[in-house]
Parts: sequence; C-alpha cells; structure tokens
Amino acid sequence: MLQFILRRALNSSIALVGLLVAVFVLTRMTGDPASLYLPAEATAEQRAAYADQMGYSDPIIVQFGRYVEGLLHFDFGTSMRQQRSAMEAVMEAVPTTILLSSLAFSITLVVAVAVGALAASRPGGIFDRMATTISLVGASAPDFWVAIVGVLVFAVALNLLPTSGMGGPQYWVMPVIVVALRPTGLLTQVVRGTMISVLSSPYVKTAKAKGLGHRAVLGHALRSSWLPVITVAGDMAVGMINGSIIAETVFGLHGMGKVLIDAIMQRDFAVVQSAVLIIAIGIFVLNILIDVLYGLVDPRIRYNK
Amino acid sequence: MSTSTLAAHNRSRWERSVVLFRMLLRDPYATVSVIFLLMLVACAVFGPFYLWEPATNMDLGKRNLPPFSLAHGFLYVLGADSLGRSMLARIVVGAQTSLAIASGAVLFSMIAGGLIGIFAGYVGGWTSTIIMRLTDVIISFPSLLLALIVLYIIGPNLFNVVAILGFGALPLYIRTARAETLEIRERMFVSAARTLGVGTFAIIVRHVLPLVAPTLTTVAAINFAGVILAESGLSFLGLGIQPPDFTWGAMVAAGRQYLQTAWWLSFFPGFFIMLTTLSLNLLANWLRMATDPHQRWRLSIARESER
Amino acid sequence: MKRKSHALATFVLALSLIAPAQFARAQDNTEITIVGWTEPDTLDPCETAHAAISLVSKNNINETLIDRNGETGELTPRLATSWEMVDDRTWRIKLREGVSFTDGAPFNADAVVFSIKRGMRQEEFNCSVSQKSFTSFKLTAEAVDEYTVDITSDLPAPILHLGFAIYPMMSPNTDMNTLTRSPVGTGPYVLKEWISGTRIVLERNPDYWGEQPEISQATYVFRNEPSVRAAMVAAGEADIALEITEQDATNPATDFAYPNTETTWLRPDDRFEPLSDVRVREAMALSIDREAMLGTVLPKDTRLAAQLPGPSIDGYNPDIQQRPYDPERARQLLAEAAADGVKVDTPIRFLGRIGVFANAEEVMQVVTQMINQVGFNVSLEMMERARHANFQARPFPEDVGPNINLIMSDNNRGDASFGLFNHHSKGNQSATYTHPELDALIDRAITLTGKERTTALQAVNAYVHDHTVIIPLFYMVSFARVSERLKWVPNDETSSQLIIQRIRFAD
Repeated sequence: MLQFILRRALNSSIALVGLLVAVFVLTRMTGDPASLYLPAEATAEQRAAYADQMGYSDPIIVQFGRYVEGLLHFDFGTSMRQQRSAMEAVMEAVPTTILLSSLAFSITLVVAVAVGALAASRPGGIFDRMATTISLVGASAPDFWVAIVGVLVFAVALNLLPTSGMGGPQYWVMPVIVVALRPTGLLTQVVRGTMISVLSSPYVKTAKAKGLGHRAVLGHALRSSWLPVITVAGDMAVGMINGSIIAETVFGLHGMGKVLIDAIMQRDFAVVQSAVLIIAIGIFVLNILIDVLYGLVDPRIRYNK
Repeated sequence: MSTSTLAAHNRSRWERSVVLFRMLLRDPYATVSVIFLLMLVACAVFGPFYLWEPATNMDLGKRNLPPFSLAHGFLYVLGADSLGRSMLARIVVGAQTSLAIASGAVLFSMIAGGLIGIFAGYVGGWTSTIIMRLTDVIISFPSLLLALIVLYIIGPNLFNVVAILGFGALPLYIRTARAETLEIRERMFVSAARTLGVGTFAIIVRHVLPLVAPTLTTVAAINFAGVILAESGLSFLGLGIQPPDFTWGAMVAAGRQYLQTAWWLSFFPGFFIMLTTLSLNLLANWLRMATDPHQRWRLSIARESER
Repeated sequence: MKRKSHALATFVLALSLIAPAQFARAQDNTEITIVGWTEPDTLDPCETAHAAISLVSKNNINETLIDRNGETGELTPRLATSWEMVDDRTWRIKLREGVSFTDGAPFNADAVVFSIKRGMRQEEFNCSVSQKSFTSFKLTAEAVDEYTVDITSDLPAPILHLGFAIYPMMSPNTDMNTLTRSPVGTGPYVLKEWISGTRIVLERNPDYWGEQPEISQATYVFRNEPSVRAAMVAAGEADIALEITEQDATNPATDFAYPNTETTWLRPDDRFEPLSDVRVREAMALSIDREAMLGTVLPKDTRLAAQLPGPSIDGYNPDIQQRPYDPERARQLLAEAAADGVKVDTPIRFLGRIGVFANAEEVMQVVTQMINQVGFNVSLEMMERARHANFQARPFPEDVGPNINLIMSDNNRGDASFGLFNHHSKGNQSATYTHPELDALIDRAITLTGKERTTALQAVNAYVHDHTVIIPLFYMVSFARVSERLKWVPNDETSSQLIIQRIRFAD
C-alpha cells in the first residue's frame, strides 16, 4: 500500500508540473495586466514601463526560469496588485474554502446516502417519488440564483440569518447550503440508482428469500454500491473546491475561489499560479485518497493496478 | 429469470421495439418525460423559424411586462423581459442554443470520456496511469481560467463554449467508465473470453461497452443539467455566451438583478431547465430499468397478469 | 517583497473565523459600516487613482492640498492655505502650519517635496495617482521655507493646481520602493486594522489638525453583488451601500441617485468606410432615441449629453444643442451618402465591454436595434474587459474593420483638457480619427489660461459636435443606499471619494 501511495505521489507530481507549465504559459496569453490597472489615459510607454517593472515583458522562457528559480527558495512570486507575496495572499483564503467544502461535503454525503438508500428500498413508492423530485429540483437550480434568493428571503424579509460575510455559525448556513445543494441532489440520485441495481441482483434476492432482515439487506447493498458512489462523491469533493466560487462571491467569503477569480480577472499571474498550485495539490491528494479507498473496498481492484 | 425475459430475447427487432414501447407506457412518468423532450426538440428545431421576431425584437414600452395576462396577446402570457421581448418566444428559441450546447458538450465528453475511460480501465498499466494523471490535470485546471483563456483568444462563440464545457466534464466520464471497467474486467465471463482468445477490442466493444453504457447514460442525463447550469454560471461571471445570443442559462443570469421587481425573468428559464433535467432523469431511470435484465420485470409484470 | 508569514496569516484568519461575529448588526453608537463592491488591493496613497482605494483613503487617511467641490468646481484650502503661479511653469504653495503625520513626522515643505518625489519615480515604482493628477508632466518640488514650497513642471502648466485636489500627501517615512499596506497620513482617520478579505477599519485620529468628526470609527466591508450590498443596509448590517442598481433602489427614504461624473459615448472609427463620411456619423447620432432609454434601461435621472465634459467642467460649452432623435433625417443622410458612392450598409462591429455600467448589455442591444432601423448593418460584440482594452487604446488591432466602440469615461478633475486625450488625434491613446484642425485647436487651448482658455476649450467641444467626431450619449448616475441613522446624501464625488468627516448622524 505504501509503495502504491508513493508511486501515485510521484506520478501526481509530474502531472502537477505539467499543469503549472500549462497555466503559466496560457495565462500570459490572455491580455495585458497594465491595460486593466493603469488609467485609460496611460500611454503605450507607460504600459510598457509597467510591464517591465512587473516582469512580464520578458520572453516566456526567461520568466519561467525566474519562476523556477524562485520556487527553489519557496518564493512563489509577487502579486502585481497587492505588491506582496502571492502565496501569502492565497494562504489567507485556504481555511475558509476548506471549511466551506468540508461542511458541504459532509452534509452531501450523509443526506445523499440516507435519502438515496431509503428511496431505493421501495422504488416507485411515495417516498421515492418525492425524494427524486426534490433532489432533482435541488440539482437543477442555479447556485447564484439560490444564493441571491436566499439573501432576499432569509436575511432581508425574514431577518433570520445575516446577509453575508464571515463570523459565527449563522454566517455559514446559507453558503454551505448553496454549495451542497446540487451535489446532494445528484449524489442522492446516484446512490438510489446504484442501490436499486444492487437490490434487484440475484444474491440479494437470495438473501431476502433466506430471511435476512430489511435493515441488514440494506446494509449489504450499501456496501456493494460503494464503487460508483465513491467515484461520483470524489468528483464532487473536487468540484466543490471550484464550485465554492459563486458562494464565496455572493456571500463575501474570503476563499480560494474568490481569490482565484479576482486574480484571473485582473491577470495577476503570480496569484493565479499560486492558487492553482494549492488547489491542484489538494485535488491530487484527494484523488490518492479516493484510489486508496477503491483498493480497500474492492480487493479485486487493489492488485490489478 | 422469468420466462418472459427469455422469450423477449428471441423475438425479432420489430417485436422488441414494440415491447420496449409498451414498457415505456407502463411508466407514466417516463412517458410524460419523453413527450416533453420531444416537444422540446421540436421547439429547438422549428422555434427560431417561427418565433425569431418576437424573441429578439426589443420594445421598451413592454419592458418587464408581468406574466399571466393575455392583454397583449398569447405571446406575452409569460411576460416580457427587460427589453420588452416575449418570454415565451425567448424560451422556445433559446431551447435551440441551450440544447445544442448541452448536447454537444455531453455527447463529446460521454463518447470521448467513455472510450478513454474504458480503455484505461481495461488495459491498465502505464497507459492507464498516464491517462489518469492527465485527467487529474484537467480536473485541477480551473474551468473558469480555461473559459477565460479560450474566450479571450478565440472569442465567445457557441462552439468554444461547447468545447470548454465538454472538456471540463471529460474527467467525470473517464473515471466512471474506468471504475466500471475495472470491476467488469474481473468478471468470469470476461476472463473466459480472454482465455478463448478473443481480442481486446472485441471484448471491449461486445462485452464491456454494453455494460458500461447504461451507467454512462445515467451520468450523462445528470451531466446534461450540470452543463446547462455551468453555462449559466459562466454567464453570471461574464464569461459565457454574450448578447445578442442567449441561452436559458444566460437568461437566468441576466434576470438576477430583477429578482425583486420582475421575478419572471429568472424564474421561467430556470423552471424549464429544471423540467428538462427532471425529464431526462426520469427517462434515465426508466432506461436503467428497461435495460437491466434483473429489473425488467417491473415494466412487464402487468402484461403477464393480463394473459 | 517576500514575507514568509503565511502560517501567521493563516492562523490569524482562522481565529477570526471562530471569533463571534461583532459586525452582524450596525453599531448603535458612533461607528458606521460601509459596504463597497471590491476590496482595495493596497491602501498606498499612490494607488488612489483607483476608486476602490480612494474611497477608503482619500481625505480620510491621506489628505490632499486642495479640496474641490464637484458640483461647483470651487477650490478650497485643505493642507494648503494658498496657491499661485509665479511663472508659467511654477506654482508656489503656502502650507498649513501645525499639522503632523500620525507617525510623528511634521507636515511641512519637505514632506511635500518627498510626496512629489515618490510620485515621480516612474522607472522603479509605479505611482499611478501621479499620472491621474498631473498626466505626463514631470514635476520637481523645492522648499522655499518651512511652509512654502515651489512645484515646477517641465512644460507650461496653467491648471497644475487642479492636480493638487487629487494628489495625496504622504509621510516622509514611507518606503520609496514598495507599496505600503500601512499608510500614514495627516487625515482625520487612521488605519486601525485591515483583515484581508474581511474588513478595513478606520478610527478617529485624536491629533487631527481640524475639527474632530462625529463618526468615531468606520468599517469597510466588500460584496460583489449589488443586491447583497443593498440588502445589508436593509437588514441593518451596514449604513452605506455604494453602487447599488436602480432595481434595488426601491426605498426613497434611503436610496439616492447621484451623477457620478461619468459620460457614456460612442466612438466611431472613422478610419474605415462608411464611418469616414461625416453624414454617416451624423445619421448614426440621429438614429438613437436616447429619451426612450431614460426611465427604462437607464435610470430616469440620467441626463442626455451633447459633449464629453459635464456642466461643472471648465470648457463645457453651453451653446451646444442636444441632437434630436430624427430617424427620417438619418435615412435621408444615409441616402445622400449612398448616392455619392459610400457603402452605407457595410457591416460594422459594435464593440462593447461587459459590465462597463449597470444594464450596459441592455443599453447596447437597444442602441444596436435603433441604429439598424435606419439602415445600418451593425452587429453587437460584447467582450471581456481585457479584450476590449485592446480595441480601446493604441496600438489598435490591424484587422479590426469598421467599428464603433461604447466607452465610458469620467471627468472629475475640473478642466476639459483632461478628457481631450479622447479627441486629440496625434500622440494620444484612444483616437481613431484624424482631424488636423481639431488638433490645432486643442494644442492652442491647453497653453492658455483664464477666460481665454475657457473660450478656446469651448471651441474645441463645438468642433467635436459639429463634425460628429464622437457621439456623446449620457451623463450617468449611480445609486447608493444610506441608512436613516445618517444624515448624509451622496454627491457626484461619491463614486471615487467618501469623506467620512462630512457624514453626520441624524438627530
């Protein structure tokens, strides 16, 4: 197992390098940060001077060399806009996103497995129909729409929750719901679908015929459904990191998504690179965990990688 | 296995289609869904031909006209948008762009992603590792950054948006297909086929693909809505389809500043997104039941009792 | 500058997450909360050219020498007590005595010299507010005595003093080489705390040279969505919400419209046919029904513009009439041009920037339809800001083809010459036309002073109008929401400066 993890870590590092190069090169093809920052009256010479100061007027190879050299000293570049360490600007936002994603993911997992399993135990029944409809409605609502409606209804009209910002638990209620809504709806469907298949398979029918209780059957079925559920849930965990962008934007949470989108819009290259690096590391670690989980759950897979 | 299923296997293709059709009628939800989706496709194909004018002609006098009144004619029964254009017409005409984008993206990622995933799962080894690492790179590449890059360099047209959304969904299909393939590969009948000397390609096409396809289709049905909503999110951030082109998602995004004064601008396109998702999912559920030999009985049992 | 304080920053942030919310409801004492649209990247006074930064900093933390009244154009003393020209390039400024920076450094002529010097460093360090205040003039400052300073420009600068209403004074202890996140000024407020991504807090400066303001502490928070900003004031979480949309502005007791010194105009690229023909340009101007847009896609307080500078700007020409909406005449002009062989139905690209102002996408679609109704062949292309910037300023893309461009620019510095970069065809950034007579008029006007200057600038604006060099559209308005706790209404400076000492509580 350890050998597997090490090998995976090595592979992922190579992928990480590839990703960084791609981001490095491609972001520099998307326009001139000076035109976004300097006043409209700035002359072409002033813009060129800005480019020289910020270091992006040199050939890409030279810039990349400088970047790699900096990496060796743990210097991830300087934010053009804020004139301080880009990694520092990103690190400030990491706890918020981790908290938001973990909360949302936990809720998604618990709700989806519970509701999906229950719905699958009686397909076509009333609970199933209701659960399917509600989960699909939740999965089809655009998250920014839910967020804004939430603010208008719960904060302004009903005064039950704060509109936005960070602070105690009540500030996290709406953002977490917004981030978790679609994944919960989707995962419920996946759990339900997989469990229906499993529950109608011969061995389950045999177990039932032999008199195994309803709960135990459900438990067994759950265990067999792990594979596709882990796949989809894993994708969602990853997707939540990206999906928190809208919640962070609307509710004013200082998370990675907001930092990334602001940096992208401003063409603050160093911050974009640092944010992508951190997000990618997180995703790669998550993927390794998921693969380990696969191996643990299904021994057949473990030894055939 | 019931005798009816065995018998079904031996019937001719025409007879099988009839059986399938009857099974569809057994599930009223799926039937309604199919009808709705067919109507939608009809709107997408014929809508722009008939309703282009009311969908695009601006009339500031009718700005934000409320719905549920026939005072201005049937076209305005769902109200008008912030530029006085008929909401009903825009939804019908918008179906074309929305469905085109979503179908294009989903078909692309399902086919490409599915094949790549099956290949990776079956072949294993270094090929599989390289494919999975590339998939990781795709996942970690922020979709918004990708959208901005493509949109900046090439421009925000339909094809580019399809490419971005399709590319972003690839990992989902690759990993699902691979996971299923890993599991199927170890099954007895596959080992048997291998022993008998059946080639890799033949095994994949004849044995693995039919088993993976239903899962992929289910994922695709769900992903379809996801793509429509992702496009809406792009519009919210200013990166998607730009006016004067429009999709349902873009309509929802544009209507968000009127939530308190003209809620119908965001509501109706969002409602249709939801109906489409719902229909696709109910259809996908039915499809799973119909193609899974273990569950087919649910859709044919009434027929048995009629005998 | 590299700082390896990531761990510390992260820890502090994590703490602030767990700490109970102290800003859930607006304080019911002498503290207020202001919600803006985007957080400043820095609070260095050199960056106060950007509205997000000047809203927090200008004349709160760092003060200017002169105050300018946006509505009347009147200049009043702040850190300077008097100012006069001693020759055509030099202004002599007398400074207020007994003022010091909050780090103890005295405010005197040396401090002014330092501030100017910092702003003029263009090679190593970019101080963009000096470009906004003094355009391309190179300044040197010299102390005459402790409270008198001479500021000399390399070129004749009769309106240089207007720049002193923008340029902030900085403590001589400020780092010359990097932007600071802890600005030090002479103003009525000091920076108490800045938690990145969460809030900026200013508190009263006990040693301020002027009257102590009513507001003891101001907290700035930031939300992207206008409806969320408006909601915060409605829910009592903030006292002032800036830049809300007209749709949010439903409560006349708290919501106010104000002119924001921005002018929206169309720039036809007359290097290309058919826009090279003045009749075609005039036809385009006549085809736009601007009145129909007021109260519909644009707020009803929006004013029609017939020239770029607003009424309080020196050089505004009161004799210029608004162009009427006359589609018949437009069609006539197009027919005349067509008869002379001009291909009036050549496809024209309408280049618009996404989000340039509220409802911009709607306005552009309406304008496109109006123009096309008289016979043009215009198609709208909306693009993201950086991409649009390529088309807005030189060097222009080679293959752009016939195009019109919707631009919004501000003029809040008091003199029409600040907007002339849009008209002058040589050596400026955004002109896509060539009018040698216009250039001559401009070159002459900017060397004059007093009444002569005003008349000459008015002649420039008249030329622009008569030859439809550009098509001015509207003077724009913004909306703000103000809690009934405060007795304050926004004015036309509010989009770029929020002077907290002028805000009072309602009794």
